[in-house]
Amino acid sequence: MRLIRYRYLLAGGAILMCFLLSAVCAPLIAPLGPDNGDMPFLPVSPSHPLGTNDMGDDILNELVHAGRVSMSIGILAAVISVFIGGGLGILSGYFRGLGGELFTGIIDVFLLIPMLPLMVVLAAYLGQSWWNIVLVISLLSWCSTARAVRAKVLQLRETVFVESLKGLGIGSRRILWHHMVPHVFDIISAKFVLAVAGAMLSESALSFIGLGDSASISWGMMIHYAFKRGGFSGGMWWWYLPPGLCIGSCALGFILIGMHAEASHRMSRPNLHTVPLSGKHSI
Amino acid sequence: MAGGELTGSTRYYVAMKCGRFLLGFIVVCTLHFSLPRLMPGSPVFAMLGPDVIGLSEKDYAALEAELGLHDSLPVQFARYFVNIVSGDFGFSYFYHLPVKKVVLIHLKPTLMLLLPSVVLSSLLACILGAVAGRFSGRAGDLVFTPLFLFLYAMPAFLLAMVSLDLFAFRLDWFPLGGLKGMDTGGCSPGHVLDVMRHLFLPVVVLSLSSTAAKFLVMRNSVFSSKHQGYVLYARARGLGEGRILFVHILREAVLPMISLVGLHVAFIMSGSLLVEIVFSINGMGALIHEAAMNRDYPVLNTCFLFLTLVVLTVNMVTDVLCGILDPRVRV
Repeated sequence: MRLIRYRYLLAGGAILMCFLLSAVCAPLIAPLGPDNGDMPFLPVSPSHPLGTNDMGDDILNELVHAGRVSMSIGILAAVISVFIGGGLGILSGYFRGLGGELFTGIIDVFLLIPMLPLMVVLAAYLGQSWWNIVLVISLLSWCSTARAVRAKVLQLRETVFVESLKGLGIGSRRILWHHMVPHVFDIISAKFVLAVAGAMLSESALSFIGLGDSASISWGMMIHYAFKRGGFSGGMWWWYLPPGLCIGSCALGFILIGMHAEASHRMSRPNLHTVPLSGKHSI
Repeated sequence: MAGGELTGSTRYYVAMKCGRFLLGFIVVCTLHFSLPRLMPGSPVFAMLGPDVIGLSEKDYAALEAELGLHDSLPVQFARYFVNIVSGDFGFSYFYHLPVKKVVLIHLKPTLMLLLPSVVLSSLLACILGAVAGRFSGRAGDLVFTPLFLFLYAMPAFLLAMVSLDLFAFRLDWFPLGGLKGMDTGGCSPGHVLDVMRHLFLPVVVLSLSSTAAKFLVMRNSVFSSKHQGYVLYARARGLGEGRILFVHILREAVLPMISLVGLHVAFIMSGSLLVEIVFSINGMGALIHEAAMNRDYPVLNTCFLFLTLVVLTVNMVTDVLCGILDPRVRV
């Protein structure tokens, strides 16, 4: 019974362990590095388990190294977006008023905007670089975190313990740091894992459209090249399918952990109804 | 809705939703206005493209004056807003056409892909979610829940590529892409059938990849209403399980779904752009792709504006529908 309750966490954790291990041990698994010349367009063979691409690079090697890029973009963008969302959510919830109402109104509108076109516009203006992609994704994906955190803080500030803290004459800053932040931490961590999945999927979409950084190849960029340079029309499934499956399963790992976190959060407070998977709203 | 005294509150609710639509419109216009002006590089470059490189200082200043960039921002915004409302979105330097014309041509295929997918994925989510929630822990639940989670995590363009490779390249069941064959035209039944044959695969891919979130919500709400009084009573009256599920439980669970469908249109829209590119459908996705490659900023920016307006409109419709069907949500 215990295991069934933790099935999402266990499955997600197992998937992520594999990916993290392969990213950390990339030089061991794929000693050739991302650039290594051989004949282009080789099919699957013992010396090249996933064949070679148009430049003659071994696809398995590229895949392992691209994982580092994809995952670091996802995690970094999620960290930034959760920081912005959490911070603004706490502040707007605690110091409510007209500003807070306006803030929620604008967040609600932002949550309706289809993010991919806006990301494409921003990425096209800013130019193609690793850091710009992180920036665009994180700046556009903090809204759902901010809203969830704000709702929680609005509840919290009416509770007896916060009132008694205020009665004791404790300053706002101390209440925020020592009492609000720990209480919203579980929401923020659930949002964080979902944001990683969302950011990785957004990155892959941007790269697929061709706005990725050609200097650091991610899984999305690999699919982009396979699509553009004849891998897809040539039926070379060993070129475009593995990076796609990697993006998907890695995102699935994060989503499963996020679902576990949201479910246990809901179980401890049954009256709070949250929409599952709201993290993917970012794309 | 039925009583005379309710019409007032319905009218108020609809007015509220229209107000929110207007707020959304203003936010989006503000973004549309400020993006070219906030971005690194001069706004002249963002509006007129690479042609301005190499112009003399004097020509450049003349262009700036022509675009009205010397005026104060509020004046610029007012002029911009008047232009938008009268339908002037600027000029595409890549296509050498007014932006509005370029965007409207490409909007139709996107809507043809988007709207059936929204309907199909909602129906799938409702029916399968209800079955999975009702018989949780049994075969249907154990198959569909992981399946939809998996499809949800996969990038939509990957699903599109795999299904195109499998069903069109290898099995030759469906056409390779585009929206219609060579020789058909007009509105003849043959033409409609042809378009449907071309749309089938993209619509199925898009629907499957966007069903998961709605499916899970449906599953959970049916699951939690399983033990409620009215279900017990219906069963005590001797009604069949199928009737209880599809008439009694579904009627209650469908209402929150409608507003969720509205919220998910933006998400399906993003997927549709990518699926279009794979299936070589000449819609907004292809346009955005091409405009991004050629740095055609006015077109890109206006694509974003139009797509957001579509989403805002669908959202307002679902919200109003929800409020009329279920007066409880008007609070």
